[in-house]
Amino acid sequence: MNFPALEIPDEDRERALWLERQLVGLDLGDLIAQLLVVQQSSANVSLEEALGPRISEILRSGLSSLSPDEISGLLSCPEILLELQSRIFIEGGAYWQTVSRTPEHLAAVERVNQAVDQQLFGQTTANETAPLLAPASKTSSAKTWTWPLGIAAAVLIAAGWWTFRQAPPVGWGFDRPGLLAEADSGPAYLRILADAACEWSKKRPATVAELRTRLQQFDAGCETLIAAEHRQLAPKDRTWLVANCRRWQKEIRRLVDQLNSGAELSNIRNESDVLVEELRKAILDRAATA
Amino acid sequence: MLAKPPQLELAKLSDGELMEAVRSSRDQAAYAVLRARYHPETLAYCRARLPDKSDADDADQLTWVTVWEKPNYEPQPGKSFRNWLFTLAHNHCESVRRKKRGQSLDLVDPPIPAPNPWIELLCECLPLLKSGIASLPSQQRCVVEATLAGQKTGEAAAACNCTPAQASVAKHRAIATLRAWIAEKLT
Repeated sequence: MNFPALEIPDEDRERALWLERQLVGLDLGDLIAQLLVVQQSSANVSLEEALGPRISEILRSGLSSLSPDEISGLLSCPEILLELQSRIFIEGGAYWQTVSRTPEHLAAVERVNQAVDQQLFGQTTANETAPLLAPASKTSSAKTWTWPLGIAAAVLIAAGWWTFRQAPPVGWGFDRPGLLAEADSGPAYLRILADAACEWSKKRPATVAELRTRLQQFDAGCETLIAAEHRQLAPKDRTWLVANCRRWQKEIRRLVDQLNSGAELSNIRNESDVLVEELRKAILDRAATA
Repeated sequence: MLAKPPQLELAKLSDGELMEAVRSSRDQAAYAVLRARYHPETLAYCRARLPDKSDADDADQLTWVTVWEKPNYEPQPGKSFRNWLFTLAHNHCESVRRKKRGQSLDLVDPPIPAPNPWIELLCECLPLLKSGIASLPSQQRCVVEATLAGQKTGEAAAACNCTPAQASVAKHRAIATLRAWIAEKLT
C-alpha cells in the first residue's frame, strides 16, 4: 500500500499538480481511504455542489485554476474525487493526457496488456520493437499478432506518440528552461526537481534508438544539475545533490553502454524506470529533511 | 518516395473509426492503438474502485478483452467511445465487487450504481489503517493525524509540539512503519 495522503505537498502551487497526478494515477483509492481515516464522510456532497461551474474548466485545463482553498476543499471531500476521476476520463480534454504517469503505472499497464494478449491470442506481446525486426519466416498464426501490434507501436512513435498527447518540450526534466529558478527554498527546490524527474515517464521509448536518446537527454539533465549553483540549497544539500547526480549519471551511462552492446530494450527500459524512480524518491526524501 | 503504409495513418483516426475497424475488419493494429490511448486510464479507473490490486487488474483485463470480443460500440450523439469504454470498465468492476459479496450481476445492461458502494469498499481497509496509526509512536501518530486532517507540515508541527523538520522526519518514518505493519497484517 502507498500513502499518498501523507505525501501531499505543502506548497499550494504544487498541490494542484500533485492532485492531478493522483486523479489519473493508481493510488486514488488509497488516497480516498486514507483521507477518510480522520475526515467525516461527505457522501451527500456531489461534485456539482462542490465545484459548480468550475467543472468544465477543470475538465478542459486541469486544476491549476483552482484556489488553494478549493484544492483543500476537494481533499476534504474525498468521495467526490472518485466522481471527478470518472468525469475526467470520460469528458476530460487533451490537457489530462499530458499529466505524467509513474513508471509503476506504465509497468502495470504493460503487465495487463500481456495478460490480455495471452487470453485473446495465446501469447504475450513481445517487446514493441520485436515485431518490426522479426524475420519474415515466422509462420505461426498466433505470432502474426505481434506484427500489427509492432506496427501500431511504431505508428505511435512516428506520429509523435499520439496527436492528443503532448510530447515533453525540448529541454525536459532537469533541462526544462527556467526550472532551476522556480523555487526560493531548499525543500521546494528539491520537490520541483523530483517532479521534473517524473517527466521521464511522459514518453515511453519504444525503440532502442529512442531509449538511447531519452537516456542521453537525462544524462544531459544531470550534467546541468552538476554544473548549477543551486542557490536555494544549503551547502550540505548542494553537495549531496551534486554527488548523487554524478552517481545517477554514471548509472545512466552504464545503461546506455548496455543498450549499445545489444541488451534487451525492455530490460534496459525497466532498469531506467527503476533508476528514475529511485532518484525521484531520494530527492523527495532529501526535501523532507532539507 | 515510398508510399506511406496505411497503418501509419491509424494514430490519426478517431476512436469511433478505430472501433469500426476493430468491429468490421477485426483490425488488430487499430485495437492496439486504442489500447495505447486508453489503457492507463482504464487501469487507474479500476484500481481506484477495487482496493485489491489483483481484482482491479482482472477487471481491467476483462474490459479490454470485451472491447475485442464484443466491439458493439456504435457512435451516437451524447455517447462517446470513452463513455462506452468506461461503462464497460465500471461494469466489470461492479461484477467483481458483487462477486465478493455473493451477488450476481447481469453484465448485459447493469445499472450503474451510485458511488457509495465504492466508497464502502474502499473503507473496508479503514479499521486496519486506524489500528496501524494507533500503533505508531505518539509524535508520529500526531503528525499523521494532523496531516490526514489537511494540515501542512508547519501546522502539524505546531499541533504536535515539534519543529517542521522533525514533523517531516516523523511523517516519513510513519510511512515506512505503516507500510511494514500493514504488509505484516495482510500476510
